[in-house]
Amino acid sequence: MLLYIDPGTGGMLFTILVGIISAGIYSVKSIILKLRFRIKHGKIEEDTNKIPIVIFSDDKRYWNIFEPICCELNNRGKDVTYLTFSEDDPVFQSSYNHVKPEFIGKNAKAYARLNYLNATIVLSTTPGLDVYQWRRSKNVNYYIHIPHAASDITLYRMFGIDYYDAILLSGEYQIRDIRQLEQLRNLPAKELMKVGIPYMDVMMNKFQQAEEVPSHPRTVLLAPSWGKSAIFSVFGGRIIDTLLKTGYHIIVRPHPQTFVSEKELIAKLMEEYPASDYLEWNTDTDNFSVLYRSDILISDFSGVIFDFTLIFDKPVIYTNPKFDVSQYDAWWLSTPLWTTTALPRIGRELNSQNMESLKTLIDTCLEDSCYAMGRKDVKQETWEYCGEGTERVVDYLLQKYDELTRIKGDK
Amino acid sequence: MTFGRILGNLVIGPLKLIFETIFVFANNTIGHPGWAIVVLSLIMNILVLPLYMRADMLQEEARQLEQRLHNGMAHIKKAFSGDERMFILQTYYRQNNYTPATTLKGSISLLLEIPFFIAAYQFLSSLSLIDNVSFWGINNLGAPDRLLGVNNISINVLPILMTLINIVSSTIYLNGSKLKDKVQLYTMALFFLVLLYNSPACLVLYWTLNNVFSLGKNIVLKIKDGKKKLTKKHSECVTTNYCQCLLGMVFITTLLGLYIPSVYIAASPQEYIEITQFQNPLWYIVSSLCLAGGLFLIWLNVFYYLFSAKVKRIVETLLWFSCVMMLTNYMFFGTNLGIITSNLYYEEGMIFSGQEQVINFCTLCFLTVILYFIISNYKKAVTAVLLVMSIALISISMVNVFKIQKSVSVITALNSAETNKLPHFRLNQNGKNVVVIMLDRAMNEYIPYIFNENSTLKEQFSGFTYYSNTISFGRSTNFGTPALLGGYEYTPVEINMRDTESLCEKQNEALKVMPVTFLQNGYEVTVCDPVYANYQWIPDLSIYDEYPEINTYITKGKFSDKYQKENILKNGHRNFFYFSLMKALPVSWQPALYDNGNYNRIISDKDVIYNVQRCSSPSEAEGISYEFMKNYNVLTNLPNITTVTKNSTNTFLFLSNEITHRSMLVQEPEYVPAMHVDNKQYDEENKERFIVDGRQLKVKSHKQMAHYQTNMAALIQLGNWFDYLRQNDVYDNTRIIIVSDHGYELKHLNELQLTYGNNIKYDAECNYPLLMVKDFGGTEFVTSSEFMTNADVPTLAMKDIIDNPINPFTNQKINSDAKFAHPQYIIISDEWDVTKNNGNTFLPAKWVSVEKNIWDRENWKFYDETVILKEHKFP
Repeated sequence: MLLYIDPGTGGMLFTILVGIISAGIYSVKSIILKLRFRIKHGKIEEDTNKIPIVIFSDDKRYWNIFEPICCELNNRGKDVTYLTFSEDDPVFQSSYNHVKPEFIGKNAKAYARLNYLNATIVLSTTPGLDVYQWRRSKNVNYYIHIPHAASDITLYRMFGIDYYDAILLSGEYQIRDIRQLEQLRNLPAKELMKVGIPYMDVMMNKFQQAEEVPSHPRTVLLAPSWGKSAIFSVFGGRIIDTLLKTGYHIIVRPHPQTFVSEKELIAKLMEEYPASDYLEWNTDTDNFSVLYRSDILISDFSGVIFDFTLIFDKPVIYTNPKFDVSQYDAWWLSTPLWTTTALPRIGRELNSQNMESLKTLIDTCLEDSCYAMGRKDVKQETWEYCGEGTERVVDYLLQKYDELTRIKGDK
Repeated sequence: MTFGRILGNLVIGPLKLIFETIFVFANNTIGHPGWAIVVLSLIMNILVLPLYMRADMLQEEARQLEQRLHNGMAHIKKAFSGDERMFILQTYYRQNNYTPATTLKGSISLLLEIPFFIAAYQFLSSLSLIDNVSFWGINNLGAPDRLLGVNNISINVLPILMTLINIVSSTIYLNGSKLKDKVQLYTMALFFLVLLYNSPACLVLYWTLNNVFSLGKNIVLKIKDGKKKLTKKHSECVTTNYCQCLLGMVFITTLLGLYIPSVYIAASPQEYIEITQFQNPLWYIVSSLCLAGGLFLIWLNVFYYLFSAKVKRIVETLLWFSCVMMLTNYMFFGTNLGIITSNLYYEEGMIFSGQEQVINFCTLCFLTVILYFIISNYKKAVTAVLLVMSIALISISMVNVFKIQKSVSVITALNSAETNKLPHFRLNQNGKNVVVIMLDRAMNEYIPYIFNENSTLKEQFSGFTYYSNTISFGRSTNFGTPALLGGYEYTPVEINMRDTESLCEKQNEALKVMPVTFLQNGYEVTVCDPVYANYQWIPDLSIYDEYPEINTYITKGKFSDKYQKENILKNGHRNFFYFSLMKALPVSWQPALYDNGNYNRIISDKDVIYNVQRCSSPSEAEGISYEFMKNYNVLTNLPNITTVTKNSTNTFLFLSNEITHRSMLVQEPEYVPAMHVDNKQYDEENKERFIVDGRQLKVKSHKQMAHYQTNMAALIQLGNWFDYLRQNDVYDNTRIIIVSDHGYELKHLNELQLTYGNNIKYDAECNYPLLMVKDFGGTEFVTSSEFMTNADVPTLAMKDIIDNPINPFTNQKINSDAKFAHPQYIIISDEWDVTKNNGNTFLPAKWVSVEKNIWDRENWKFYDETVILKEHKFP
């Protein structure tokens, strides 16, 4: 009877006990998670000298995002350290004198390197700072995020950009969404700068300088994504059949991941629908050429739609507009995705009901002027400072660096 | 001390102390344990009420937060899996200042109440004071109530009542809650009904009262709020300073738990050691530190955490006041309370003059103004001052701790077998036996009155000569024993003249004069409790190592039973903190906490526990002094440790005993220890016993009476031993000297009240030691007015049996010639502590001389230290 307590309090003890056990389990899990990464990364040596500007890329595919920025910084004689998870990142092939590339691995040790980084500014397009293994380093003064898609900023996995200090944006609706999230989560206001989209500027520039496309039959590009709600998983070979029936030239460009994750499906389709005068399978590394010579794009809910429509000013046909946002920041907002409001303005939706009239859909999108008007509006909304992106980003970076180092110097 | 006990002392200990104090105060005020439980319940509930209120608020906050996060949490758990789910959840929790432990937030206060209930349970279930106490129809609070009886079956009504109240209270509390919660509480109520059904009524009464309080609280809350709801407080602009608060807590903890106990123990560490039940006295400091830490670092912190910012600020200010005031009270007030015993009992009692109380009050008022000014204008200074004071206290305490450990290590180094062996000695029927019994502080003036009152004793002491004109050379043992043990070469004057040797060496030498002289003359020698051997509180028997034939023993405490020893250790663990707390409070509050040395510990009528005695008058007292019993038991056991043989070897025995120093009231007319002493009738009927031959022995105070009775009790036990000696035919061939080292200022006799200088009063009773001698073959009890000193003891002991005895250490003759060569010089010094007065000479003091007849005031002359040393040489 050592632990006797009065009856009134006794009942509460059950609640306390349950709470203690839950807290205990949660704490143990957290500790295990921390330990797992700590054990993996081992001992870390911190940078003794502060690096002025670091660009961090978690994959080589983002070189197109950073290349124009690196180039501009290099031209202005500013040193940049480029940390990448990809050993074969194109940065290693570049010849920028002021860009110092460094492959930091891609395991826990790489994250540890980032977590103990000593830098004034870190620019990255990787979401999840201070959410996953990548934690804010106490020796980094400022984290800046640059998106890698010209659409909703809320289509990152939850909390993905919450712990950046600044976000470089291209549309007012993006600012509105971020502010809503900040308010909802009681987070301090981030610095939101509208600077444009450098990589799109590059593509636009390339498009403008490209030779005119020779006369060609109406060309339809089918560029599906992958996964269970992607076009091939939903419609199978039926869509190729339907497209072939239109008599137009068809280019099929599967997502690179399809050849990894849906090997059997794509092999079967390629066997059933071999290349011919009307059908072309495209796997070019650079998609510029194929986008350039296509008149219309059919794709599911992916960023390429906006690349295609905004740069090449051509219509699109899209599938699966009811995108599952359950894992994304967008889930927290009651306002609809900007993308869902933009798509009807730049093209038509394809579904199993209207599959049979796909040719009519294509023709309408190509010929109805309302879509041309829509594309213009959408571009204005999501791509401000078109053509000025790179310069604005670099101006901002350097101004921020001065500001940060001046504050430190003043102190 | 185990880790569990330390933890218990930290968390539960302070609460039990509060429970006990409240209960004792209530019981002493109301006079009924049943009502004391009611008061206890009421006060404890009021004390924990802030916890309850805060618990409700925190619980509501936590509930609302959980409700707000519920959808998000559920969605994340559904949308993510594996490590990613964990990462996302962690982030979500972080953004909302939530952890699963937040569910406990509402329960923190309830969780913290558990120690309160454990403390209450432990306290009440061991409360033997309520056994057979009836209360409101309950016959015995110490047993199940059995209020209803049906066909020889007793029904305990109180647990049922408790449960009903609990159910009603729960119903009100849970109005509108889920059925699951209701079922849970009702089940618990029934569970506790079963569990407590057969518990003592006092325990169930306490919980019933708690439930009544809870019911009242719930009704008030319902009426006030209609429904429990969170009243969001306006953000308070008051800034708090936890650092300052924490430093205040640390300071008080250090002061009460570490500094004060260490100062007292370090003054005489060995005094706090029970040699036959060894325990390092540092553990007392650990216990007091645990209690102080528990109260001020844990519980005060908990309450501080729960308080609003405004109350926190007030607590910080009060702590600042308390720190300085407590230190002031301790350092400057109550410093002249006289000798304190190892069980924290003031021998002179605790009395503060009105003047001291007024000065204390005015000082505290003045400090209040000053401290308020400082905290209002120099906030940062407060933190700095507290930090510095804390570091200073900790540093001094550490020095004390090392000092204690050093002193204790001497004891642990002693041969435990030597100190623990059971004493015994031989008296031989066919040889000559010489026995010297030193009774510390035995009073010579009592003898005529004792023998007048107790005729049996006079018969038992037949053959003794009582020397009524005797002096000692100081007022305490360090001054009085050297001459008693070694003769006139060891009076304070002579000791001071040998200023190249330490006092300790000279004490050791004096302790060996008689034993070695007798040994060298073929005597079988036994020494028991050689006083201040090696200047240690527990005599260091190793001073006799070079004479292995001398039998040495420690008798003090050898005959105390284990239960009493354990109890006294237990008291020490509790009382040191209580004592420190008392010393740090204003003097006018201190007597209430001191409680005549009992420190508000519950004394049960049933238990015979030796601790301290609380006297309510010269004729009435409660409790038995442990120190008295340690010595008394030696005297009662004298026949058991005496072996009588037909051997013809001569023997010498020296035995010292402190019973007469550790006085207490005993039950008359038997003069035996009793838990409840009631001598009203006997004292009333025998008022005339204190007038003998026209001389009045003033016995007005309990202190005077306790000394008289203790001397009587000691002599009765010696008388019993003499009967044993007679029965065994060793009384006649035994020379017995009963002597004391000094007397005591008790103002019994007008004739010994002297004045000198500028009307300075001097009570010469402090130099009037007992001296009674029975020579071989003595038959009559006679009184001698011959001028004697207790330095005559060696001469008396060796008279006619050792020819021309020579001090083996100085080669001087052992005789009493010096008594007649010059007046006898007595040191007037209060420095009894051999840890301080331990140089080569005694610390400077005034002196007084007397010769021939102590009853003639003209024979007493007073001197300065320098006069004595310069003008008087050894003859």
